[in-house]
Amino acid sequence: MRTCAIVFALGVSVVAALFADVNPHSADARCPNPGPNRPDNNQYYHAGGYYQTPSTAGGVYANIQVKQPWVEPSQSDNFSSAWTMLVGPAIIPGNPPYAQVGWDEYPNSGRQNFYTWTDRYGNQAPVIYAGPAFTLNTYHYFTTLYDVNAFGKFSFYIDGGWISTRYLDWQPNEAQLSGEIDTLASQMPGGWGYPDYMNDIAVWYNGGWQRPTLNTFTSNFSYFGVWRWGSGAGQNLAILDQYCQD
Amino acid sequence: MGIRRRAESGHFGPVLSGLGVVCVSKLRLIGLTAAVLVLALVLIGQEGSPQPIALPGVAVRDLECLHMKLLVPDEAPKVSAEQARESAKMGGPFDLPVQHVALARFVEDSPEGPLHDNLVWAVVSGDGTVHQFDGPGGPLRQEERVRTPSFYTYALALVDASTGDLIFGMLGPPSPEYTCP
Repeated sequence: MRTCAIVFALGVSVVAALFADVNPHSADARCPNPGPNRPDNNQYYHAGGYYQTPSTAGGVYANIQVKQPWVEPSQSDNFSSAWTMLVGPAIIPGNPPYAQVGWDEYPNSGRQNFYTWTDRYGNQAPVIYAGPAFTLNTYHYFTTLYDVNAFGKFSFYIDGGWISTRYLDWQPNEAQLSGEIDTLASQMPGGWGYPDYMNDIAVWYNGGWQRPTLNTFTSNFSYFGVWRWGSGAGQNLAILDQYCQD
Repeated sequence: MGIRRRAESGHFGPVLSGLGVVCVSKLRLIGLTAAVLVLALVLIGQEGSPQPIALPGVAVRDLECLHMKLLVPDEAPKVSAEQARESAKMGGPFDLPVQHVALARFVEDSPEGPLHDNLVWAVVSGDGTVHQFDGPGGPLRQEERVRTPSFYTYALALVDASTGDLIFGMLGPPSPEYTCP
């Protein structure tokens, strides 16, 4: 009982410390150079939430905060991003097909919106530019839709505006929203004192938009954090890089 | 040829041989007429449909894979090529030296009709080298997923030639493994 109380108290204090100040302390809202100071290992890492739908997934949307995380400049294509995604069953184990839309920060403040997708074998199409950078800390809706009445028809929207429609050869059964980096040396969006927030999260299945409780995931809890709180339309997700403290 | 050989081997050889020559001539004539007709139909068809334009470094497959076409334009632009070059700046890995700018009619097809039909400036950028591109790595919980490195040699931007808005930008070509569904 006492242990439970201590754990609860610790949990409350951690969450309180994390969300005490919604506005970032620093104007940049990013790790100062040299970033999180981890190895430049050219591997992918995630922090986010997912939900496997009981029927074909017809879409996912979330109001995602735009950050400007520190990105390792060793390669011009290194990135740190946040997105929504629909995922299908893998034909090749470990290579599920997906379609996604989100924002993407490249080294030296090259931020923009993007969308991309794969064929059913998980082979990625080109990464498509979907618009210039949004202002730091503003919230924007990133929506990936699937037409359950038209096999393979995916559409991408940003803030309710249609971006593109693609006709692919698979159908989704899972919705995701996540932050992602492609080297451990880059900062996952958000940091202590300035997490990257995602709210108004919805997933389409069983004939309509639903508000399922997301499962949370991170590639490494020592490096990254992911918190989920609230329920229904009030469900929130926050992700951050544990190595980036304000 | 076969007809003639068989005809010459029999008693009525000369007569049948004559008939054979007539048959072959008729067949040739029919064949020739059909070929001329097909050629005429092809030429008429081509005259009616706009021709694709070629962009240096951009293979036809790259666009076809995305159900897109760049065709010979049939109207004049409202914005200049210089303005288009400015609008084509996308930042990040898309920022490469501009190599070629061409006016085109951009058509994007779908089973439900055209998604785009715009007059555009097509701006091709590149630096003559092949860049490895670690694009988004896919879904979470697939940290061990099989990764095939992707590469790009150019950035293609399509700028609406009426408004100056950047309406499409990509890093190409699509990976050879991508099956163009």
